[in-house]
Amino acid sequence: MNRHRHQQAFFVSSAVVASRLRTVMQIAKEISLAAKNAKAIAERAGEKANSFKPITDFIDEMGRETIQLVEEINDQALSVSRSAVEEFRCSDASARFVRATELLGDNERTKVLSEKAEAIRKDAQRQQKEVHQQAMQLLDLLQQIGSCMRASGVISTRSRVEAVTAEEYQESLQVVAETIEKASERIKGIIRDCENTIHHSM
Amino acid sequence: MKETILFDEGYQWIMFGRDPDKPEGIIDTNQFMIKDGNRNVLLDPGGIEIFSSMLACVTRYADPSEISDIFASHQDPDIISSLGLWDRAVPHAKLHAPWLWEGFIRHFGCENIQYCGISDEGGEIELNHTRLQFIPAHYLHASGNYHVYDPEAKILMSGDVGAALEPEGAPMFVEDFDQHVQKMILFHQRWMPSNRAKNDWIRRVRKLNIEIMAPQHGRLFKGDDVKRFLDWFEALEVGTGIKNTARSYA
Repeated sequence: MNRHRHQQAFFVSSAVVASRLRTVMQIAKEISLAAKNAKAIAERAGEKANSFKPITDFIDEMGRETIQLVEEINDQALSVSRSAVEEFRCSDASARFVRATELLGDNERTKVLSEKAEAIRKDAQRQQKEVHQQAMQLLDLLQQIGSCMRASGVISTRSRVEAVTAEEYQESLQVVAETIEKASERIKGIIRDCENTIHHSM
Repeated sequence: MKETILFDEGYQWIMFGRDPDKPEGIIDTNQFMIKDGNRNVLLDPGGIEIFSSMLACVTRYADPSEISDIFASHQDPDIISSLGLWDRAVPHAKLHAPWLWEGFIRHFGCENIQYCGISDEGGEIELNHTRLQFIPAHYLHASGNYHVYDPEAKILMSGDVGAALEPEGAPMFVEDFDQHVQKMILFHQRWMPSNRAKNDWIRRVRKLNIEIMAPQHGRLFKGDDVKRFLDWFEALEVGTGIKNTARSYA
C-alpha cells in the first residue's frame, strides 16, 4: 500500500516539476532580453564599455542554454511521469493478479495464475528501474541548470565591476547586472524546489 | 463471488455476482461466462474493482488461455473498465463491443486484445454448440448498446434492461414480480432515455424465445416473468430526467 502511495507521488511530482519549469522558461527569456539590452547599451557606449561587451555574449549564451535545458528537462519530466503512471498500473495489475491467485486457492489452474502474476510483477519491477533511471537523468539536467546559474553569479559580479568604467552608462549596465542576478536567484530557488520534490518521491 | 449455473446442456452459462469482496459504494454487477469447450466467452466482465474475484471465478471453469472472446454491451466502467487487466490475462482474446465506442473503450487499455466492433445492425459469433446473436439495444441506455441472445439456451443477456437497484445479497431470480417492480422503476425511468428506442427493442425481443432474461444488475427473470417484464416496460414512460430538470428550473 505504501509502495502505491510512493508511486502515485512520483508521477504527480514529475508532472509538478514540468509545470514549475514554465516559470523558469519565462525567467530565462527575461535573461535573454536583458542580454540584448546590455548589448544595445554597450554598442551605444562604444569604447567606454569595451570591457563589458564580451560579458553580454556570455549572458546571451547563458539565457539560450537555460532555455534549451528547460525544454529538455520538461520532456524528461513528462517522460518520467508517463513511466511512473505505467509503473503504477503494472504494480496495481500485479496486486490484482496476486489477489486472484489467493481467491482461486488450491486449484489445478493456480499455477497458471501464479505465473501470470509473477510475469506482471517482473514487468512492474522493470518499469520501476526505468522510472528510477529516468529520474536520475532528470536530476542531472536540473543540476546542469543549477551550474549554469552559479556561473551567472560570477557574470553579474563581473558586470558590476565593468559597469563602473562605463561613465554615464554605468547606471544602465548596473540595472542589467541586477536583473541577471535576481533572475538567476529565482531560477536557483525553483530548481532547488524541483530537486527536493524529486528526491522526496524517490 | 457467487456462482450460478444458468444452463448446462452440452455447454454452460454461468453467472457470477453478489461479490462480498467488492468495495463499498460501487454498484453490484452480474457477470456471465459461456463455457463451450475451447470457446469461452465473458459477457460484461465488470469493473477494475471486481477483476480479481472475476479472474479467480473464471479460472475455476477454464484456463485463461481458453478465454477466446469478451463481449461488452456498452462503454460504462462497471461493464468493462477492467479491460486493461484482461488485456494482460487473456491477450489473445477478441473483444466484441459497439463500433461506436471503440475510441472510448480503448481508454481502459487494449494493447493486445483485438477489438471487433459490432455494427449498428448487430452481429453473431459462432461457438461450438451455439451461435450467439448480438441484439441491438441502442439508447438502452448507451447510444451504442447490444444484448446477447443464445437461441439454444434461450437466454437473453439484457445489459441494463431489467436491472434493479437491490440491497446486498439479493436472490438471483425474481420471486414476486409485482414486488420487484418498485426496485426497477427509478433505474429504467432515469437511465433509459428514449421511449421510441424502448418500444423498438420490445418489438424485436418479443419475437425471441426467451427462458431467462439476465440483466447486468439485480435479479434475473425466468419463464412468465420475462413476458411480465416486457409488458411492464412497454407501459413505462422513460427519460423522465428531462421533466425533473424542467420542473427545477421553471
